[in-house]
Amino acid sequence: MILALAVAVGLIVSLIRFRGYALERIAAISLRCPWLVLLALALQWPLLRAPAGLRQPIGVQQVLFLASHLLLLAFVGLNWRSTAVKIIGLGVLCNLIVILANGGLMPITPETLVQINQGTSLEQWPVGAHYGYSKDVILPRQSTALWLLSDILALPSPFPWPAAFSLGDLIIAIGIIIILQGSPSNLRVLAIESKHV
Amino acid sequence: MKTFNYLWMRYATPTNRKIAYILLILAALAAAGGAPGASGGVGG
Repeated sequence: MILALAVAVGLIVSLIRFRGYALERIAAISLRCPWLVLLALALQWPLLRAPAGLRQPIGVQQVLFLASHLLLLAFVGLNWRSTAVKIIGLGVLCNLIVILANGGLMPITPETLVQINQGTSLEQWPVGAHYGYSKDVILPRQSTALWLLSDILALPSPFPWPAAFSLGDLIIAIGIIIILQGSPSNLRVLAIESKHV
Repeated sequence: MKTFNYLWMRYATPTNRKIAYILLILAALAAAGGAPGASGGVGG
């Protein structure tokens, strides 16, 4: 949800900054092979639909999940000329590194889960289990490799959609907000904008 | 149906469709690249 929020924030910031030209600037954004992103999300879908439980039954989902990151990195590579995409790529890489370092899922501590699931206790979050309908695995801090890159940041209640997210997610959110500032489609837009400055 | 056709002709311009597509791609990138990591609520 935090990253969906980034799309909304990016759009609002763009509309405030560029007013009538914001949508034209967004329409002028040029992305190579955007279908790679949709395919990556499709590969992750089985994992995102897997309920909470042990990790063994979701082995195939995990392999698809890791494969999806190759598509995401290919997308970043193909769009490398964009600074915003470079930032997004850094975020994806941060997430991928911690995922690989912890056996193929994003680690989250029971403490963070209690923070975002009001009314639950630490005992309800068994260590080593997959946190259902997510990319996360429940691990205590001391067993988490590269803990700083894991889902350590939390937006607890009263935020309408309590969620945990990582430093990589934050970097991706910044990249998305930047990319949504768009680019002038042509010299005409630049000329019109310069008149209004 | 007529209303739908009217609305489609009025608002689904090539520019608007491109904007919708870019927003869709960025939302998908957000979902695939990072979150949905962990969100609270029932079922967790």
